[in-house]
Amino acid sequence: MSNERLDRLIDEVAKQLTAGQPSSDFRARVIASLDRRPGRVWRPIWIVAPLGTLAVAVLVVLVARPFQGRDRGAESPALQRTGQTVTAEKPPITPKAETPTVRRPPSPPGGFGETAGRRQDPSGRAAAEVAALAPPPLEVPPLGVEAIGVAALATDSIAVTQLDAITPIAVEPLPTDDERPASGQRRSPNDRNE
Amino acid sequence: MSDVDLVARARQGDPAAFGELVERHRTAVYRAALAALGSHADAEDTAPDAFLMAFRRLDTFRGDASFKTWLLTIAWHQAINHRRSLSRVWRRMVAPKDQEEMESVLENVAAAGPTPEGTAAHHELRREVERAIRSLSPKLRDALLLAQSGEYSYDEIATMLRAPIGTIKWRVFEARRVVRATLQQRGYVDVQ
Repeated sequence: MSNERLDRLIDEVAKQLTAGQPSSDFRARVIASLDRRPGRVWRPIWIVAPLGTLAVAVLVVLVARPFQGRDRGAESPALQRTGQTVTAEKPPITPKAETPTVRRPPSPPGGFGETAGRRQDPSGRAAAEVAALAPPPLEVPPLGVEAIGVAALATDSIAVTQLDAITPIAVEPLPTDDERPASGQRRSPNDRNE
Repeated sequence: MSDVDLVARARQGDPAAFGELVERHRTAVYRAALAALGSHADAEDTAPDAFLMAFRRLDTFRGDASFKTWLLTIAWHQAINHRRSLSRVWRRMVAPKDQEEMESVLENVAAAGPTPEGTAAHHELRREVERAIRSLSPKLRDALLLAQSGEYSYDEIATMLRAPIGTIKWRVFEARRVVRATLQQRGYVDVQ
């Protein structure tokens, strides 16, 4: 087959590889996508995202509020025992309940001092009642340990026995240069032994 | 009405004008996608996206080139991005139907020879030519397919592929030479 015929065949096959028509509803699909896609893409971004953020913020506030009250109630008895004031440890941003320290009623005889009088919320009162019902501290007798008598211990002598005497090793001195053979040949170790 | 007039109306929000542009150029866009992707299914997916992209960028069309050239450039880049995407590779691995699809097309097109043996030989040679074209490097294959599709001028191909016209012509020539050499190596064609 000549190159020209082969080139024609190559061109023909190449043309066939790109032959084809889009489907009959192609135009309708494109026009429909023009209307549909921007809404599909942008609406979730601009509407769902702020709503989601708002929902999370509300959820955080709702969840955090009960924990705030519980924390205050739990910490008040401990502070009362150590004689510290709450205002010393609280951060500067505090709820309104902590600010009127001047208008506090006198401490109850039961002895929850400043904090008990200041707390008006039910959780604080409940903590105080729980603390009042606490059992008295346990009295544990000290553990007595007797000293061990030194005389009672049996001790062996730690004297060190003398080692055997080492016998000296006799070492024969090496021959000097004058004693070597005159021919200049080195003596073998066997010669030395002879 | 010219393409430029239709573009002006489409910019003013006339969907019918853009629809007319789609109707005029849908085959050219589709075949460009087919040349890049080698699959009718992928071309069906990509071609509408090219029109959508063009619609969103209508304001950037300045009229330096024809609307068709501008649109084809967008379509070609869209198709090339699709070709590079991993999802397409995955789809090819999962459902390798395109090869069979193309082969069936070639079977239908195979020219009838004078004898059954001649027809079979011709059919086999066409298959080998198609394999050789598919195994070309993308640069050579793209140039050959676009040039032989009959839809585009060399000017348009040069703009789409961002290469000088001389380079495009050389690529087409080189593509043919490589295909011939491949066929000769496989023993389908006598060495001239």
